[in-house]
Amino acid sequence: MTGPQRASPVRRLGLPGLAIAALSLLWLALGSGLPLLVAGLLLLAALAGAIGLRLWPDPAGRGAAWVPLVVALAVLSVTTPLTFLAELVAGLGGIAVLLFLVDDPDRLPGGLGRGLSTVALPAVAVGVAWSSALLLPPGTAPIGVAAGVLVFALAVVAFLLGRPDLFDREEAATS
Amino acid sequence: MNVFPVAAPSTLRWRSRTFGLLAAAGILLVIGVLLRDPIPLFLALPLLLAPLAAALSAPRENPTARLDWKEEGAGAAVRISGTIRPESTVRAGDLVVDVPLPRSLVEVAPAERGVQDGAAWFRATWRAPEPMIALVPAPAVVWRDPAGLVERPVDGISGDLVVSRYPPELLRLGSAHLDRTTVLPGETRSRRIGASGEFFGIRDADPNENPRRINWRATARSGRLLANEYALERTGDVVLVLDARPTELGAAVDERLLSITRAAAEGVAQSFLRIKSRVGAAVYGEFLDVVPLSTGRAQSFRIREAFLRAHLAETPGPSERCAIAMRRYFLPGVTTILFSSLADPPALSLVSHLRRRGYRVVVLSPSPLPLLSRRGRLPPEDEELAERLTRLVRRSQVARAWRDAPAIDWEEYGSLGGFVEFLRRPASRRVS
Repeated sequence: MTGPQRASPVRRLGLPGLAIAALSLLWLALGSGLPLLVAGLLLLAALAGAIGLRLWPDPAGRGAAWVPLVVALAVLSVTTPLTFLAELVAGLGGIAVLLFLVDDPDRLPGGLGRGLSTVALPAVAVGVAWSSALLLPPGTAPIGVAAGVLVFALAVVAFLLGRPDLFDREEAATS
Repeated sequence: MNVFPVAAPSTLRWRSRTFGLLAAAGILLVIGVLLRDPIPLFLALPLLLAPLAAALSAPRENPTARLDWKEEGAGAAVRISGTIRPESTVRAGDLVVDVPLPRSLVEVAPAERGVQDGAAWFRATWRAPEPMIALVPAPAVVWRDPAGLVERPVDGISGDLVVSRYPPELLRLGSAHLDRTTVLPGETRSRRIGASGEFFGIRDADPNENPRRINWRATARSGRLLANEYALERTGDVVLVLDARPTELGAAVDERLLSITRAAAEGVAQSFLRIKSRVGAAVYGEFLDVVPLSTGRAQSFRIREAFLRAHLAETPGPSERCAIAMRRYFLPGVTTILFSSLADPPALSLVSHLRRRGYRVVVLSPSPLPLLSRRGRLPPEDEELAERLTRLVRRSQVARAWRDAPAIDWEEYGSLGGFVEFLRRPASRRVS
């Protein structure tokens, strides 16, 4: 199979998503409970890994460039003490990963514009969740509610993964 | 060749990236609940919802598109270009086009793609290192969401492309004399005009026209020199046999040799069909696949299809089976051109089996030597010695084939000059 022509190095990096992810990582690294050196090294490793994989000649490697970002965000989010801004920054980090995916150098240019509909729904959900967390009284109850909602969402998504035909338009009986 | 588009099953497909995102979200969810920490949950939320958002943004049924594509280029250069115009409401930028590269072609540069006037265009630059004929299947086109999480096949993409590069000498092959297998080979006359045969017409004479061809009565009536033209009789029949069995050379070399052979056989068939000779074809892998003797445009298509379909057999059939099966379709005595690499004993034995069954065989043997590159494991002197030994083995194989039939060692794939000259000189076709 023939591969597509390689995009320019700047476009291949997926700068908007990478920049937001880097800012989120930096914020979490500065606030995390990890030693600053370890957190800094983790941040640098994640960015270097994402950039390195994006520039990788093999398409399979380029497709996995988001993995280092998610791993670093996960580690730093777990080790960061709870503040209302930390929740927002973690959510932004997730959205940044999606922006990074949408700006795929192996696809035709303009993916960022075309992919806004894919990013918009999760972004709204993060906004709603964060404002709820901000407005609801502190305690463990909201975590339970959020976890319940997430478990439900996960079950729905798992069901949909098994039944992709549910997204198909049903053919008319007379057609 | 696909004439009618076949609709792919209308199902949304989740890509592996989706499962990766969901796995990450699931792990974060578990960690968040176990540690009673909402921060990982906030990180998990977008990753969890993205596949759902991507699926909702997908078209509800397989989109349709129209493919327009063509092959350009000359000589070794092969340029494939085309456009895919969506007929549904999907954006051309979301279409992912994958042009399959046939094994006999080499990619020169990565394919270029873009969007113009609402259509996705693509351009692939390949190279045909040897003569070849290959079917390029219609590109695989899918609609894929920009994040690469879900995809749907695109319907309506059809129309395979045939890329062919023939050795140029085949144009002269029509003048070769073929043996007849029947007394009256048919009522179809040759298309060739010449100096003997049935009267065809009168034309202005050339300045150095042979006086025997001048039509003196017509010349006297018109007041200028006129010469007779004659429609040549059809020369006879020819059967082209492709040996598509695997050999000791290995699958990669065998595949390339078969590709070269297909091009030569197809070119030879077209050359003889052009002059209205009857041409038959047979491809022998495990069993014999036959196109019986006939002529005309339909036969040209039948032979082309048979050669395009020809592929390397997984299990080689015995040589005798081929010769026995040939007798069911072709009369003995017909001129038979066998395309075989002669690389191993079964290939050599096919020549003798065909001869014993009464076929007048001529072997055109594409040499594997140009395809066997140096591996660089040995010192240069040893490499040279190995090359000389390989060449000696090859010569010995061709010499052994000569015991049963004339065999032409075809090493310069770009030219079939030696073979054409051989067929045009009947005196040299006798085997002692």
